[in-house]
Amino acid sequence: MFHQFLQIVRSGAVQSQFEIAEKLNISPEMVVQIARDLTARGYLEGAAEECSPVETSGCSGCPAGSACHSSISTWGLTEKGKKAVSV
Amino acid sequence: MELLDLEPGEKALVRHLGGERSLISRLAALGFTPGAPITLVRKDDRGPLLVSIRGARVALGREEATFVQVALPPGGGDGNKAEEGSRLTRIVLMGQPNVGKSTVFNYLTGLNQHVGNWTGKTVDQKMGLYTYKNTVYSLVDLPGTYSLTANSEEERIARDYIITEKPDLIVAVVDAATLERNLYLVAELLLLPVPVILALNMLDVAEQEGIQVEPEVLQSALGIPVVPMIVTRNQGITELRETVLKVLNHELPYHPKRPSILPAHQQVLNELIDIISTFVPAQYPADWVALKLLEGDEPITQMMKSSLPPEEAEAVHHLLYQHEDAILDIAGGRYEWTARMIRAAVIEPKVTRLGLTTRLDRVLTHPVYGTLFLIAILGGVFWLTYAVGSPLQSWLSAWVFWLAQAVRSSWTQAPNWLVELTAGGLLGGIGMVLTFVPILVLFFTILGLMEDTGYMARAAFLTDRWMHMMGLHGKSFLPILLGFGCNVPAVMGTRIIESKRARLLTTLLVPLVPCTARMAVVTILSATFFGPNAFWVAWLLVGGNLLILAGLGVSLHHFFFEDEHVPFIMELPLYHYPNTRTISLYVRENIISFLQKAGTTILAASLVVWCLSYFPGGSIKTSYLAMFGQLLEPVGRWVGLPWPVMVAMLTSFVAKENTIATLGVLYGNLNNLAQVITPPAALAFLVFQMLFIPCVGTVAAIFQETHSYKWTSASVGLMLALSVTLSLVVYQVGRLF
Repeated sequence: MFHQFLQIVRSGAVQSQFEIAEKLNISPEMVVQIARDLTARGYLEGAAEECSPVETSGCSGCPAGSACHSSISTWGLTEKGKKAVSV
Repeated sequence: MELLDLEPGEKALVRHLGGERSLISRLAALGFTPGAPITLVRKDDRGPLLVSIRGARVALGREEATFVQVALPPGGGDGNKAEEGSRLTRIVLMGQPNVGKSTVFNYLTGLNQHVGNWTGKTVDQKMGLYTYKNTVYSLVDLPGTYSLTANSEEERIARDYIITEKPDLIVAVVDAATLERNLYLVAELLLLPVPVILALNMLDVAEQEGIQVEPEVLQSALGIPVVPMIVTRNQGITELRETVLKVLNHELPYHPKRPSILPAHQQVLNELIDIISTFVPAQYPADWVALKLLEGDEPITQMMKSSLPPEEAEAVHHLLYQHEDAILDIAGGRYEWTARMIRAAVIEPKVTRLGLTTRLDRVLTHPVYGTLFLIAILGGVFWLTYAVGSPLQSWLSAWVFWLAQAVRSSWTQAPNWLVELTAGGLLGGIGMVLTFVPILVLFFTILGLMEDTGYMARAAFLTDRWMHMMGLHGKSFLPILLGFGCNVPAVMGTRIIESKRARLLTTLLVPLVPCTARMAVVTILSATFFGPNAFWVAWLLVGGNLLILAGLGVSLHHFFFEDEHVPFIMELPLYHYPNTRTISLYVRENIISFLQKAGTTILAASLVVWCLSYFPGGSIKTSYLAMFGQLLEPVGRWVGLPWPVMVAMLTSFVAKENTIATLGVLYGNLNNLAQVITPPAALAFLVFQMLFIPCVGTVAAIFQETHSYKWTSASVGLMLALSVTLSLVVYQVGRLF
């Protein structure tokens, strides 16, 4: 399942959990769970979109400060992940 | 017999507690629960008794002691055996948080429970007893965990307890409504050398959500007993007790179907077991330890490091290194197993939010239809803003203008500078900015609506699809996306890009992303200049800006990046009906933040601009600002703009909205300005404003992130060059028509 999962991630540019779920015939929640698991194991890396690094200076002065506090999570393949599916 | 009947040193088991409920629960909290071994330590004629229970010494009043019934342990009063608790059947409850585990525990044990702490930990330890068909069971409620990977303290406690204490049975409580997520833990539990019963709880919740779970099918798929339960309604508790009894008496079939491992990895596993089996600490099962080693489990790896001799450690290391990716098969197999179980035993509802989301996404994230929809939505945002917001704004600005005139005509006694400061500086600057509040309310309402329904994430997703098609670095996308809110966090966000070169180039691109402040200014100005055609102008400006961003991105990518392809997954929310409260909070927060800014930065800048435009002579024509403005005159002439407009643009360096405030101070009313500049010049102005140097916050962020004057000035220079060149082209071409 992990192998297939990584292969599907690699085959597309950007995919949502719904698209991957359809390809693997599992639920979207499970896709997210697997993505987190693979992240913990170093095959994927997560990049949560937050402006946490600028809490003090940037966002407070910006009229749209709260607009960028959305919580979209993304995961990309790491070198380890790429290596695992290229073999 | 009563506790009082015991002689000092005599051991017994607690049989029954009497008296009022408060007393019973107080005694239970002290560890007096049926089945608990108890030893009388001291008994005087008068005064309290001293007993030893659960490893603690407790003084008990004589009166209270009369409520404690005890029984001598069977087998000739061999208390030692009882003290060890070896005759008690030990059961543990496992499960994820919020699956009703504690309720199951409470129903099973009643008041016979004892809450303490795990040794040296802050996590609650709940233990209790229950009697069913003459057998006393001890029950331990292990902390709620999502898996057994030892990622958290709870997981370590639960895992260590099962491994080292070896209970007789595990009851895995799962939530039927989210069975898939719950079964992963079960897949891990089945690898442990303890039988597992599945307590399938919350069937009512599952039913409400239209999810049909078939316990019998699940039972035969798993090969372990499954007890359907709705524990909140006390359904299934007796069945659970009965099943526990039967499994322990081997009266029920128990043939768990564990997640499978590829034959190749099974062989590796066997090799590992051969190497380590003699060195594994006694309480640990060797095959489980081998599996965990193969999975790269940290605590187990550390444990074996210290117990393996160097030669074996080397062999293990070598084997693990060779089969580094065995984990993909082993851990992945558990998910596959889970998915198989779900497919067998769960019937999902046909019409769900998920189904709706999938169908909507087919259109809304489609490269062609989705893009068309996105363009239409953006168009709609502008249209609504102009159709509803602009008339309100003109009305308000006419009112502010009238107020300023009223100040001028009625404050005849006040010194001229004070009158001008109030009418021109305050009302003209900040007053003008405030008239845009209705437009901003609309703007943020629509943004909030897009965010709350889940559409905003799709817009991001779609934009990324396009960026990928243009070959842009995957990670560059995130900061760029953030930039639409505010450039400052976007610049900071470039930190996630490892390659220094890619990071710098993304930093250069970010100021080209139109942030909401810039969008708001352009929206307002285009309404002022182009009236009914403002919609098309704003739409073209934003579209053009994005094209420039894309063009620059592609060329930078082409010249500086290797053709790197970074695919990724983006977690999109389900679509849902917008919540009025959420949106109104969102709008309120943004408007308050805008007003705060208006009261501070914009106010200060307006006053400075006013002072410069008033002093020394009391007339704008002879003011300091005019002297400075003359310097800008040549550039202004290229693009058809008078110097006050150029000055207004410069003040936007402090904050983008300052352009409007400054124009207000210098022209009194924006409509006056519309009369003095030609349409091509107005368009050039908008292009200039759109691409001008980012605000001071962004420039500071760029410096902070790059630590380089060179790169910071490169960024400022790039924007300046772009804005001057393009507005020049727009003006000169526009003049031809």
